[in-house]
Amino acid sequence: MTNVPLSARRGNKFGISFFHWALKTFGINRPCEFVWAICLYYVLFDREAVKAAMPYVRRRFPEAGRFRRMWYVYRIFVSNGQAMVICAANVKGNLVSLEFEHFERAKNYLESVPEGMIIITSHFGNWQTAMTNLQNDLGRPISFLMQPEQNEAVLEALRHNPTQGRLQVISTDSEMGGMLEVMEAVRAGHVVCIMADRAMNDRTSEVRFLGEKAHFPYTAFFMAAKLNCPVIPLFVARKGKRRDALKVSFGKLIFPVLSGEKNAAEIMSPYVGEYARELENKAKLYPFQCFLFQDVWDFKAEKT
Amino acid sequence: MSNANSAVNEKMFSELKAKLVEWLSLDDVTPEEIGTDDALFGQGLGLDSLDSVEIVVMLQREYGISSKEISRKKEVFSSVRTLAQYILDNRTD
Repeated sequence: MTNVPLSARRGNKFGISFFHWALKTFGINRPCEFVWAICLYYVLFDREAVKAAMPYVRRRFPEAGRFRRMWYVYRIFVSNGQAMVICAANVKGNLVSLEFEHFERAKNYLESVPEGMIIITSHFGNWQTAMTNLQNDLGRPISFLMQPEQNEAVLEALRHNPTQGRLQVISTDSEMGGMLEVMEAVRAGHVVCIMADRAMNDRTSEVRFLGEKAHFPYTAFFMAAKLNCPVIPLFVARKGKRRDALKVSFGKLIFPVLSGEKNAAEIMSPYVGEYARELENKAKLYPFQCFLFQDVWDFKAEKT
Repeated sequence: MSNANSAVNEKMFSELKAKLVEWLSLDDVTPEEIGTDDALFGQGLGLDSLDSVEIVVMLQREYGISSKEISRKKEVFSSVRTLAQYILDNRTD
C-alpha cells in the first residue's frame, strides 16, 4: 500500500483554488455541500481510496453489511473534505470558534518550563484548523513535522495564514527525517506537532485498537523520552452540525521514559497504547471524523 | 606528529564504533564490522532518523558536544571518520 495519504489528492491545488472561489462567493455552507458531490465520485470510482478506508470502517462498524460500509466510507470522505473547506475558510477570515477541553494541561506545563513539548495529532476531525489558531493561545511557536506531499491544502493553509508568522513546517524528507530539527525546536521552547497515527517506517509499537492488534508509530514518544519533555494528544472535532465551531480536546500529559532491557518498540508500547485508547474513544464519539486511511492492523513495516 | 595524529584518530575510530554499537543497541553488529568510511545512514550501517537523535545525545553526554551545533552540520553524520573528526575538533569533555 502506498504511504502517500489519500487526503493529498483531495487537497490538490486545483481543488484549493475552486474552494477558495466558492468560499469567497457563497460563504462556508455551500462549499461544504459541494463536497458531497465531489466525494460521491471518489466513493464510486476510486477503489484505492475506498480500500484504504475500509479497514477502519470494518472494525469501527463490525456489524455493518457491505452497502452500509460503503455509506460510512462516503460519510468519512465528506467529513474529511469538509474539514479542508473549514480550514480554508478559517484562513480566509471566516473564523472558526474553538471550545477547549483540558487546555490547561498544556498551558500550565508550558508556563512552568522554558523548553517546549510535543503535541501528537491524528488524522481526525479538523486538526489543521485548530493548529493554525493554537499557537496564539499556547504562547509558543509551533512547528509541524510533516511529509511535504502529505497534504497540499494543509501546507497552503499553514503558509498563507497571515496571523501565524511563527508556524514552521519540518519536513520528514529533510536529512535525518527532520528529527534533529524537532530536537532543536523543542529545546528552543517550541511546541512540535507530530502525527501519531500513521507509520512511515518500522519504528512502531503493537497495541490494541478497536479490538485488534494494531501498529502505531512510537517516534513522538521516543523523541519525548530523549528530550525529557511530555507528549500530549490533541483531538479536534466538529461539534454537531455546526461548521464554524470546533471542540479542541487535550488528552493527558504522557511522560515517556526509555529504560530497561527491552527494545524501544516494547518500552514505548504502553505510551503508544495510551494514545491508541484516546483515539479509540474519540472514534467512538465521532466515528466519521476519523480519517485513518492506513491499515494499522496489517501494517507492513519498511525500514527507512 | 603525523603518526601521533594517526594513532589518535584510530583510537577515536575504535572508541566511536564501540559507542555506536552500545548506544544504538546494534545487537547484530560488532564494532570491528563497522567500516570507518561506510555510510552510517541509508546504505552501509543502515541507521535511521531516530538513530541520529541517539547519536546527538551520545555526543553530548560522552564528549560534551553541543547538540545545537552538530544538528546544523548534518554532513558530519556521513561516516565514522567524519563523526570522529568532528569530535576531535570540538569535544569539551
